[in-house]
Amino acid sequence: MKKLIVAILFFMNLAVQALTIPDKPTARVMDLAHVLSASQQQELINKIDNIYTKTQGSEIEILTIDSLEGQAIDEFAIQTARKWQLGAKGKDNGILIVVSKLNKQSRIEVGYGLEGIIPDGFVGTLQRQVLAPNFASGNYYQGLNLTVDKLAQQISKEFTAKAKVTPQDDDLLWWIIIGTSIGIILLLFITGHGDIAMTLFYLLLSILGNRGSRSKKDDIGGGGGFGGGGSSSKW
Amino acid sequence: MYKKGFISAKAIIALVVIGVIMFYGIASYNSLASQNQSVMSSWAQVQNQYQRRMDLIPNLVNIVKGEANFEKSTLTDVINARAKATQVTLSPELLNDQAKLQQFQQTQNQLGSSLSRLMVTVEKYPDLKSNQQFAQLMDELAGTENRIAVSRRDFNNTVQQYNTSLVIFPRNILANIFNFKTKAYFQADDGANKAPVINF
Repeated sequence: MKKLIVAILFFMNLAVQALTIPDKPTARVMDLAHVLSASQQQELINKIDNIYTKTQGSEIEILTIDSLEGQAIDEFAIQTARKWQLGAKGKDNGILIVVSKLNKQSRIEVGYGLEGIIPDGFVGTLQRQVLAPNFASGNYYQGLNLTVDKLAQQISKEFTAKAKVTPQDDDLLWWIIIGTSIGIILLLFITGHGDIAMTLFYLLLSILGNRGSRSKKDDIGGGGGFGGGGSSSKW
Repeated sequence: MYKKGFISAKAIIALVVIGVIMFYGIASYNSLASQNQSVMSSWAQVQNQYQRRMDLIPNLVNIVKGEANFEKSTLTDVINARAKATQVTLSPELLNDQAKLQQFQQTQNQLGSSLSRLMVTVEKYPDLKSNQQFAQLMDELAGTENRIAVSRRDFNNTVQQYNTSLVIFPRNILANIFNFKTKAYFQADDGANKAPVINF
């Protein structure tokens, strides 16, 4: 039975897409094509981490792969960006840089929140003038490094360090509701309506369960609002 | 307070059953209504992106016009296709009409293919290709084609979810009562509308 389920899942996966999207890495650079040295990766990671903290969680992620295996880079990029939920919640300020080494193609996918300051024309020019020429001569690090710099410059025009993440008012309301409900349940218990109290208690638990799973999902990753903005290039 | 048997066990059971059905009905209705709403909003997104493409075309026409002895026919094709596309709009209330959606899709596809012909023609004009403003406009157009593809895919996905929950028993009874109708999908394109790849 287990085998059957595995087989079904496997074929479902095959049917949906040829190229599996990797899980979101913990580091900001995922170099599957091995075009960067360990120290180069670290430099890029440090740079992007720095941007992340200074620009309200604007999240850049670099993914290099060997081959697209026949899939269009546009599709692969947006699916990955959405799966990884790049950017902060409600800001959608994520950017995904995808590089396919063998296909000699790149795409910079821009989240909704950055489309205004990083229009497609900007991304296209950046790739033509900075990324593609460097990649063509094999300087992957140089190309990525300069590209990230230019993107960061642009991001910092809109997202500055000063604004903090505001606590959600929503949460306070929830605590009031929960507090009141517990009060009512206790009151019912005391006045001898144990069965009604238990029913309400289970109801409360199930609501809390739902809420718990929802907020958990929101806190991880958060953003992920991508509508296909950005630009692709070849070299 | 009450006489014994004033509310009989049967009555309580009946009340509970009615209550459960009512709750189920309300929950189903709300779920259908909110799914209907997300179909509407993803449709709005599709229309935004098509509109964005149409808004970019006047800029394109202006730049290309400036190019001496540019092939007139491809340019007029684009202008005509755009004029046609502006006439065929589809309000969200008509989304359950597959024929209407197909008509909308066709006019937009014509515009798309006339645009991609223009983009191929442009390759023959080195002056245009080296024009920075023009290159960026091409990026915007290519980006818009991609956004159109993405928003259409999203639209089809939300419609599929909505349609599926609509036809499942016993919800289909409720859907009938409240007049929720299945909605139309975008058909797969024959490739004419694919975003053209341009290299400078």
